[in-house]
Amino acid sequence: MKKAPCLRVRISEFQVARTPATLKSHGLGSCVGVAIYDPQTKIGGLAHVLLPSSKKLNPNSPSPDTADSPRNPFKFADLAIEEMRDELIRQGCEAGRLIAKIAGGANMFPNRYNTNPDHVVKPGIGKRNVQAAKGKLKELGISLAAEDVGGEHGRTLEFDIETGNLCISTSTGDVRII
Amino acid sequence: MNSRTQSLAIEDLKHIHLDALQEICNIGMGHAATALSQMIGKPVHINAPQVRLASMAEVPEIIGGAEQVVVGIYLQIRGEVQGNILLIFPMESVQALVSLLTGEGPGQQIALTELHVSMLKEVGNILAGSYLSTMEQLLQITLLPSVPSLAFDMVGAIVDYILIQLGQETDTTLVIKAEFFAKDQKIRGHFFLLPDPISLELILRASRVQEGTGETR
Repeated sequence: MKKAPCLRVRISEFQVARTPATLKSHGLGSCVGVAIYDPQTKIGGLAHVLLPSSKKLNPNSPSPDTADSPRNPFKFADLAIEEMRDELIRQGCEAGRLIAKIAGGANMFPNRYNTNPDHVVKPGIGKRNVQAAKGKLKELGISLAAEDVGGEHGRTLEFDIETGNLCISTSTGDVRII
Repeated sequence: MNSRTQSLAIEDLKHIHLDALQEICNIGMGHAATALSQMIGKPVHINAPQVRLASMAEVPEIIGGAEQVVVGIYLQIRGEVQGNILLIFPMESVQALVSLLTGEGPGQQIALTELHVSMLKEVGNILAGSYLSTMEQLLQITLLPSVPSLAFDMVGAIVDYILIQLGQETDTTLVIKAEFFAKDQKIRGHFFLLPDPISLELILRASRVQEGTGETR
């Protein structure tokens, strides 16, 4: 039997596939992986988002929206989730049947290694990505079936379109399926 | 000389700019290698830095394969020019460094002790500090390193944090990468510099590469 294809989803990308297929995203830290699928048609997608929202660009940036030419909207949770939902529907999914699972949003520079009060890394970024992803899913009426978020370890995600299982493996060797 | 009013987009960088960056980084990283070699008492070599433009999606691969578990030491550059320095040490190098600095036998430890953490950060301080002070002298601009932060995890997960900072302003980033190693000591690591996109123009101006001079290259 032919092996099911495994598609890579890199930072600020999303992929949509039909069973049999696995979508894989390596080494998420504060980034968030958003998996959405339709259990009936067995079509699903995985997005690897970097930033919470396209609306909160740094106001000090000289040219927040224009000068940045190959601007990639899919680095933002809000735009990536919406576009992936649209693509799932174009490929035959029913909006009302869509189910989501999310994973990621860790703090990669934990306090146990970084006790200096001048430590520059702000821990809230992962949390904001998670909140933004959840907010967008709610806005689109997509129910969140499971999540594995926060913590202090990176994650690699494998999303099996056939079963809808999202398999999470961490650097410590833990493997969880949600 | 109207380059002061136009911001130089990363995508517009020309060969001559990249060559100039490579040259000034080469000098800075040479000094960093010397400083590390004084710290560990062994000769440290450094390969010529590579300067690359990359999309966010490509950066984890350049840094070393998203899933490899490493120690990452991160420093922000503050001052007139802003940017990010990331030092990556594979686990076997961490063990070799620690055993060299403490005299401990080469352990199989997977967990980092407090002593290891502070020692590795000190290595980060020394490498980044000597690199930045060389750049300060060469470019006549102020460059201050932050306190180092340490992460111990997959490369991709560590570099996420830097990409989140850069990603608010750009989709393409400049990655300057150099490998340093102490022969026969199993110590090797990578030094990465990811300048803030807004700071690039300032670096290039300070290095006296003007817009327009690279047209014929």
